[in-house]
Amino acid sequence: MEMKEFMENLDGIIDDSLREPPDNIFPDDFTDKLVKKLEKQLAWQELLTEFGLKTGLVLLALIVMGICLIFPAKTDPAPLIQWVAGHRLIVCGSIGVGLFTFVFDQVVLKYMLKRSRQQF
Amino acid sequence: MDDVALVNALKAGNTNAFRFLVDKYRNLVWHMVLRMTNRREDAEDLCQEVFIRVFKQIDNFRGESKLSTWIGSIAYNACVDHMRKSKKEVLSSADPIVAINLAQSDVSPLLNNIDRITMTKLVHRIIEKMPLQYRTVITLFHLEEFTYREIEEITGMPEGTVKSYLSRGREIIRRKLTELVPDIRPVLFEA
Repeated sequence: MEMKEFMENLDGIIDDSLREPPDNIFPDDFTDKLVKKLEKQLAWQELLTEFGLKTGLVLLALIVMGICLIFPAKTDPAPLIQWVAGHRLIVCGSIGVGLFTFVFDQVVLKYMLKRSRQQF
Repeated sequence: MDDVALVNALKAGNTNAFRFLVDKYRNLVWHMVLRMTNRREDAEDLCQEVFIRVFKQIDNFRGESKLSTWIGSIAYNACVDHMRKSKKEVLSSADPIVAINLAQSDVSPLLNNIDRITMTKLVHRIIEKMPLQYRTVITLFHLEEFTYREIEEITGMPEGTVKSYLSRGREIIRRKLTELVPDIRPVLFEA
């Protein structure tokens, strides 16, 4: 009888202990920090998607323009390719500077503006 | 806000709904992560990762299970991934009794003055030293009050295995408690 009571009491203590949460307390500012982190990620994601779409559109327009200029007039593209190959430093540099300006203006600056407005 | 409305708002990308979700389910995730990793230092980052995953994967939630169960399964997988990456303990097949090796420094301050509160602390120390699957199942069942079926959904362990871990876990705690506190009777029979 006493053994039964012993086991019941022991189980009671174990049950109470198991229902008790661990000692470590949840950090107070957790939600705020997490929401800010998510807002940052969403802002980057949105700006990069927008940038990707704009770059895609510009490239598509250039390709269409190139096709329209070269094919109907049956122009030989060889001189153009030769010119690009001869001036690859200038061509690559121009593309690089253009891309950098575009990324800086469309992604980095916009992100910094958003950040200062929304304070994340 | 009920879970259906919450999920719809999250699917629409509402960050206020996200704040609400974090406040509603933070204890569940916090307890799971703390118990599974046993590391306070990793717990906060992992909790953040879990909630970010929940937000990003919310379109995959079909409402076939409770939101808490779905979040629990994301937390479980995030913890297992984290432990694999950091090469810490993953699901072990070691004998749990042998695996529980409490250092004297862990328990001796508690053994000086044994009452119900210190017994609770002692039980928590024993849980911390248990193999991962025991800690997880015990936390989900007793602390978060999930059913066997829900624990199966969260962890992928069959229901029978869950029941077995629970009963063996209790047996381990009983044995370890009586081993650590030979004079346990006065505490058990105190008014």
